[in-house]
Amino acid sequence: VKISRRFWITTLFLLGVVLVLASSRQADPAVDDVRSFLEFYSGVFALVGFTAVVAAGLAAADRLVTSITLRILLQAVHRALAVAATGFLATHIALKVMESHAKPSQVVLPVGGRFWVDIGVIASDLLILVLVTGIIRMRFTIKPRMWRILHASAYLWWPLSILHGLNAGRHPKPYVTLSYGACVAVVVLALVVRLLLAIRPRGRVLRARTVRRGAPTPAPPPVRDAPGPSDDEFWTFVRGGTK
Amino acid sequence: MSRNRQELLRPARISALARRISASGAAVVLVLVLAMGVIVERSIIGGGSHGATSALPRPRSPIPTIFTASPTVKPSLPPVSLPLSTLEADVKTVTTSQLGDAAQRAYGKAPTAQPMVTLAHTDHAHSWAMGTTAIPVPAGDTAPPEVSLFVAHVTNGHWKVALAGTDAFTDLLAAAPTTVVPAAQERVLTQFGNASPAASVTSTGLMLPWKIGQSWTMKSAPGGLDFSGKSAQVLAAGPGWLYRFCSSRPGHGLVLLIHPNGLATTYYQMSAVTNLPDGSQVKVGAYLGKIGTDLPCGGTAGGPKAKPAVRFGLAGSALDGMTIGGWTFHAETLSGYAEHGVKKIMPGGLLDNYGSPPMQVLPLPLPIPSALPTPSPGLPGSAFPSLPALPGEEATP
Repeated sequence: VKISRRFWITTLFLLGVVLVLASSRQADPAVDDVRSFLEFYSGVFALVGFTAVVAAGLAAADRLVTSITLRILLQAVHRALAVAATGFLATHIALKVMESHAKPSQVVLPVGGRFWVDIGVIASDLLILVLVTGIIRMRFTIKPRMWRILHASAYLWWPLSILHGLNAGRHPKPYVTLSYGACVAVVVLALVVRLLLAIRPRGRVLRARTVRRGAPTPAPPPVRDAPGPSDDEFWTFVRGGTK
Repeated sequence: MSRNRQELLRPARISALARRISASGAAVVLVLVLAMGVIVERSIIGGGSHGATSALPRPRSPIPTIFTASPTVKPSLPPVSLPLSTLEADVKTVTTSQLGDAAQRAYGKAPTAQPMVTLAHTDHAHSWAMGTTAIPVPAGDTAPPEVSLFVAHVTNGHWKVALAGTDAFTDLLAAAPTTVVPAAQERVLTQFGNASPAASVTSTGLMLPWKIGQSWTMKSAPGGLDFSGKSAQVLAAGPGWLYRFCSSRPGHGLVLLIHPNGLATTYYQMSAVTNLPDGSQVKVGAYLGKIGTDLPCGGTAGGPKAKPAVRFGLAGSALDGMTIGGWTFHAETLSGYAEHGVKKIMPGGLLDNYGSPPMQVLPLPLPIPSALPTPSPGLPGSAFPSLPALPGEEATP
């Protein structure tokens, strides 16, 4: 809470300074350059950012190769990228409305625009849902399953946002299309691996239980599904570290 | 497992690092908030060359909305006997009677809409006025808009309206106060009206309307040449005086630049058009707008799936044979092409902007207007070489 208050005070102070500086006529060309740059690139940065967010999130959830330290750092990267990419997305939307390429209602409602623009609106709506639940999760505990489902909706809206990015605006160069295609492919592959890992250990535990029920034998050693630490260890570490 | 233990020993350092990484996201947002703050401030003040967009309408003035508010128009002036609204009607009548036939020939059918008039300057007594007028192109038609400038003066209780290219225009220009027609513009405005100055100009002194060194895609659109490129910013092809047509909405309109050598260039379909007042002097490379699909003067932007572009042309003459930005444009073949040294670029190809040599200033003295054969009013309709569109062309910025 302390950090966020300092953040807001800094923001307001800097905003005041910059607004005063920019009100002079001499600043016009610079402001125009900034605006043109953001009109051209904020959408691109948002899409590249969210792609990196998905990758970092997936890597942070991995228990097969990623160490516990790396997972915590990746989680921080995931969060930082998500915040930055959302900032670019908000800028992108605001500028497109200011350019009158979209109506103000289209900020939330996916109607009345061109098809690929509407797709982008749907994607950003879903993103807002994930973001809000992500923030709520930090303050209150909501049901983990609910949060997981909402968070997993990213695998729906992220490809939608890529389709929007490739089709709604200027024509992408071939390498751009190829790169996004490669990203989707890698993520799909990683997801498949993750799903397989999630299913396999449960089968093992189940087998262990049936054995125990059949004949009372001494408890089997704890099953380790991966070389990394267990979930409990992970969360103890996280709580111990952030307190 | 010992490796993990070691890591567990120093969680505080790890989490401090993690917090710092998380905070970097907020830093990016901070920068974006600052940038957006400045952009919004600029568009509200309306001073920036991007100016206010349509999302932020200008405050209403007592002057009819069709007229552009410009520094010389003072809304606080006492009411005058001849309201500017009658001027608007008079300019429309004169435009229709003098340019109507030419427009009908250029458009292939009778114009379907009333001429669009914008006011550039008036004197304080509201007895002199200058502005722009255009006959909108019927929807679906591909011809370039028929545009002209006017000067008006109250004589015998009526507005006397003269369009560019008439003797009356030249006479009124000479008599008009400098608040309505700046002295520096009188000569080029006179020449602008008097048929094609292109014949006498050997070197255009113009560059292509984007940043020097960048290459943009050339498309032969119906009725003109469309250019589109990465930076999207359309820049003045040469120094000159700027006039906007067909729209008084901030950020919209066809832009005409009258250059000191007597040539005039037109820029159509732009969005985020500069809000410089009419008659402003601009330098070569000044920001004019962004490539777009805006059609304030009617017409068609090359099909329903048109990509943003700027329709660039010379007012009053064809681009054929002209050298602009290091490229000589040729229209003699079926599709036309641009030539630079050994390079020949067909529509659909990329043109590098090589800039321009220094522009020559229009030589004095001008022929006495009354001695000239009656020039055709306004501008010839064929301002662009008629290059047929290539099927399946795609702009790839």
